[in-house]
Amino acid sequence: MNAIPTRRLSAPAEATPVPPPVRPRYNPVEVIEGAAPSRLRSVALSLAAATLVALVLGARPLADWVNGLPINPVTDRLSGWVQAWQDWMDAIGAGRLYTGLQALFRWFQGLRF
Amino acid sequence: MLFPTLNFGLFFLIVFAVAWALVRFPQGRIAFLSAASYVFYGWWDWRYLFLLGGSTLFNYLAGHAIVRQDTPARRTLAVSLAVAVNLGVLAFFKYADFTSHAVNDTATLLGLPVRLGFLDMVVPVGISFFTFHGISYLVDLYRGTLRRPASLMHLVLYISFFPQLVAGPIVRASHFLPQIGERPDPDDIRATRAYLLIMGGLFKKVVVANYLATDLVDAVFMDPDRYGALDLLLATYGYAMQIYCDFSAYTDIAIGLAALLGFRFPQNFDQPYRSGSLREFWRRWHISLSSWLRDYLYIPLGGNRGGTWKHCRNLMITMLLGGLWHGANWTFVIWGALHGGMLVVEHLVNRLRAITIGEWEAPPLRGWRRTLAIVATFHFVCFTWIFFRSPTLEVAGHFLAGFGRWQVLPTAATPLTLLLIAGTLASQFLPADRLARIEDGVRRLPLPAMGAAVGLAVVLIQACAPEGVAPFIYFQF
Repeated sequence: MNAIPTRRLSAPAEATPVPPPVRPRYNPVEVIEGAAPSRLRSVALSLAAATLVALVLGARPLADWVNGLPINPVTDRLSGWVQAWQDWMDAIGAGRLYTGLQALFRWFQGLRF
Repeated sequence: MLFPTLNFGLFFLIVFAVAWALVRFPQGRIAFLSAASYVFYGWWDWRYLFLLGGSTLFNYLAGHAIVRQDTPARRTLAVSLAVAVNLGVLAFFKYADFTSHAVNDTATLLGLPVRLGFLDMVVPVGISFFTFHGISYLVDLYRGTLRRPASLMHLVLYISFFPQLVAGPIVRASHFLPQIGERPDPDDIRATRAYLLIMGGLFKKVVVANYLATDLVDAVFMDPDRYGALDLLLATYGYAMQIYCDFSAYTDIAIGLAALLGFRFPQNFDQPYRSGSLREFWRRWHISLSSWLRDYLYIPLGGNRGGTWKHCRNLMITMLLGGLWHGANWTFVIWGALHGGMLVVEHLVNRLRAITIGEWEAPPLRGWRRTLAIVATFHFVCFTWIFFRSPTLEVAGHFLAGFGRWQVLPTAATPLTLLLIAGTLASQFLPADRLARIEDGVRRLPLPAMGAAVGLAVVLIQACAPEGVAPFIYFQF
């Protein structure tokens, strides 16, 4: 007859601290996770709207950019068109927001203690 | 082409239109995006297109060679050689002259008649980033994280994709190549989040980083002996905010642009100055680099295995090389060494805390202890930024010596710079889900109206911009 195995009662072993896993899995957080989706048509319209607003309100920086391009017949003609556009926008006051904010910011930048 | 310029704006509008027009022709779309990326990179210097193309072709061939090896030992040899070639090219362009300087200085010190010449290398923009992308591809293949080698066209796009090419984030091959292989859904463009990221990035770069540099930091670091301790302290804080805004701006814009093209990039910054330890800082700052160094350098060295001494050694090696990655200058080595040393100290202190309570990890600090830890960590990081920003160790030394001049009245502060520093620091403690909250707030706006708001924001940011656009700081790496 086989002896019935017995287990000697003893004080429970102290819990051994478990080390963390060796190689963490690469599981990057994606910044756009959970963001609302949009359709391509809406996105295209929004970019068009952004461009239009920037052209209207930002005619002055646009003219500065064009005037900084290398001089050739194409950029000469472009410069003429952009200058005319800027004149129209200035005439209807669309450029006032840009120049006003620029002046205000420069004033604040110039403040000293 | 720099992101906050009209040149780039026009470039992106064209790329957006053509890329989505080609969405039903995947190979054409990938070829077009690759070509656009090469145009973007060649805009700086067309000669480095050969370097970019050559690096990509080498990694393509090396990838095939790795998977063709029939024994583990041969695979290990193949990947080791391929990685060594990548690092060799990086070392040649970035560290050849630094090595010559170091050898010549050491020889002079020892009285040896050794004089190495200098190549006067211009470091190609983004070489550190696309080298790391290549290494990621090779090692992911070796480890099996990538099941099979990518096609040449997919690999070209992965390594050259223009939003992340020159200043990150460092996007893993195993994370991005599958996205290239998928057809993006034109009804699932995360445009609102992308616009918020791009506008936020433009503001951080064009306004915050630029003015902190021109109106405070550059002048003080150029001649620290002219300034007292308070000005030096303010300039240190200013640089901490400048480099955060400059770098996080680039990656925010990159993530937003990629999202508009249907790609998902990983987060790269997570309010790093609210960290209560250096270990936490490196989980929040330049996350793509710190995780890359962890997975491709720290863990292959042994990570935290092999006992305390090896763990500390691996931390130091990783941070020293991480510092050197930033540039060929002893200031970057010192910066890396300081971070490595403090990580070692933190690890030892935490082990002591853990041992005293019988746990593997020490519990996180809470309450006033955590607040104190945040302040201490922030100031340690700012201290190390002094070395990072200083062009030479001599300038860093002069800067630090200036902290004894407390009797000198401050002259460098202006209301604008103080506001920018305070505002940026405060932004570190905004809710983590702030983007989602803002998005909820503007959700009712039709997207075209949102676009109009974006146009307005661009004009307003431009109105506050200084003349010209300074390059992003991380372009030099």
